Amino acid sequence: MPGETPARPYLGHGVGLRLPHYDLALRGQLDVDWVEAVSENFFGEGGRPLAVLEAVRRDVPVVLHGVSLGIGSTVKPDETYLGRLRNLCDRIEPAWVSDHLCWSRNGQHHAHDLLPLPYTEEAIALVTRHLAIVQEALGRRILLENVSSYVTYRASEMPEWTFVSEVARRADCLLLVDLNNIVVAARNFGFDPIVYLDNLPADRVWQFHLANHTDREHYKLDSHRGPVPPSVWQLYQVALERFGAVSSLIEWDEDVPEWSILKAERDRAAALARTVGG
Amino acid sequence: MTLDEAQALFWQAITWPTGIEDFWLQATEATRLAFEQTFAGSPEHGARARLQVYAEAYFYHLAEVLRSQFPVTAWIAGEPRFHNVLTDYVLSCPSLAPDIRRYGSRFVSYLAHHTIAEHQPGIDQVAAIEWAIVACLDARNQPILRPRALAETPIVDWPALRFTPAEATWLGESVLPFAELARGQRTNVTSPAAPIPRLAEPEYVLVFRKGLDVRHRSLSALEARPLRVAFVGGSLAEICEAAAQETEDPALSAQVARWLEQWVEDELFADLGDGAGREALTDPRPTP
Repeated sequence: MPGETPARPYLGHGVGLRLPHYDLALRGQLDVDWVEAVSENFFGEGGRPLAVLEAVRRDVPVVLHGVSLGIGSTVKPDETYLGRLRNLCDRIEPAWVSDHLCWSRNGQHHAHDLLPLPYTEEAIALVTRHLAIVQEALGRRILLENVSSYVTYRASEMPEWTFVSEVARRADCLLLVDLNNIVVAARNFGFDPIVYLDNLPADRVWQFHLANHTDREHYKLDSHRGPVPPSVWQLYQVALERFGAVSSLIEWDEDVPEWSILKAERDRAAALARTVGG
Repeated sequence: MTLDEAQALFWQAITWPTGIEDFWLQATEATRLAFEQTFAGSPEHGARARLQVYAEAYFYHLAEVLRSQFPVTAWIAGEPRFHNVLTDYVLSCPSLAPDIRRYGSRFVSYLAHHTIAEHQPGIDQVAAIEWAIVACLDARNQPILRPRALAETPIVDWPALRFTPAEATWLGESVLPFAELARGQRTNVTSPAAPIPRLAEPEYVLVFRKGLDVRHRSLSALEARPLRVAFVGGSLAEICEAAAQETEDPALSAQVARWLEQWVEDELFADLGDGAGREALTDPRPTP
């Protein structure tokens, strides 16, 4: 597996598969290029969720996006979890698999949140070790996503973009760049989001996330509620100019709107990509 | 501080029962020093306030999934009582599963021993029904007993027929009127002000998955007892005997036949095991 970074596949523009649209999915009416499904939501052995995912998979490419791997947790990746994920991959044959560059487990307990790591050599080494286990178990490179964060560690030795890039290089993984998370972190920690993009390894960037956030008094919260805001669209345009044709995905998790509204967001992402791409 | 120590401190702070500020107030000097040396903030948004963002998310992610999976239980309990139960549960039972939808797996037994069960007897039985609905949603697909397979069984073999309940099937009882309470919750009637009285006789509730849809219905004791015998592997003859204990109705045989027809129609049983009527493990067709 290690070696030359494979050529980036292009799926087009998709949306996150969410419960309110399951019926549409079963009727084959998700008229987007591809969908991203939260892996753990399909760990059950049957019933409606799997039927929905299989129906979608017959129509369009599916990407499996995990939220509970916790690759940066100091406990080793859970073999049972990896087995379930592998089984799901065998069943769905996703275009790719992704999760987050964060930690989320304390011993056997799950936070169900994306907790930030210190940007240190120690964390890079740990994540690299764990990624080797994960990528071996899954038999594929995975994409890691940069997370929104609200606190930093005094021990950090490098900026976030260097940390993300070093993990990708040393672990030989790929990147899912969440542009909203960059906007959120840029506000919360006071950096220029363009600098972040400029320092990522372009050949490892396979996917963008586009989403909304909520402005709180002293910080931005990664809420995934509402349409993609102007600041994220602007960064998306810069990212398209920087990285070229990268598959994009709209995330809308709170107060999920009717399909036409979600689809319109996806259409806007596609139109902007066409404009930038010429 | 090592990464392991930093994560342990982070975890301790965000899971503190009453929030980061209380964690800080009750922390030792050594812990406070470690905290200050580990986490960074800014003058307008300090490190403790920043970790409070995670503390709130930790609680609300877990609490919200329980609210969504136990709506009738929440409605019966009312507020702030249900909020307090959730708080107690989140503190006592950290999540053990990567799939957050499994977080409620210990909630029923937790409720049974919580003080709320003294205030509202039977609330744990209502929660058990709601958890069965959650569990049936994505229980394993399996070949289901179809009417054709039953019809193809020689009549002489019927008395010895034994059934296996489908995995997406559950039968329980409740001293509270679940169907009526579920209607109240769905129609946004205000939560009951006083504890709901127990039924004179428990209500039997069947949860099952038909196609891809999870359904539930109340059963009479007359129907529930023979069905229970069927669920524990009793033969059709034993199912009929169980029914006969409930009634002296001369039309009993016809009644059992109608129940059996309905049970098969409701997809309550796995296939008889001879392969007849076997279907694909996952039926890919959308529900009409």
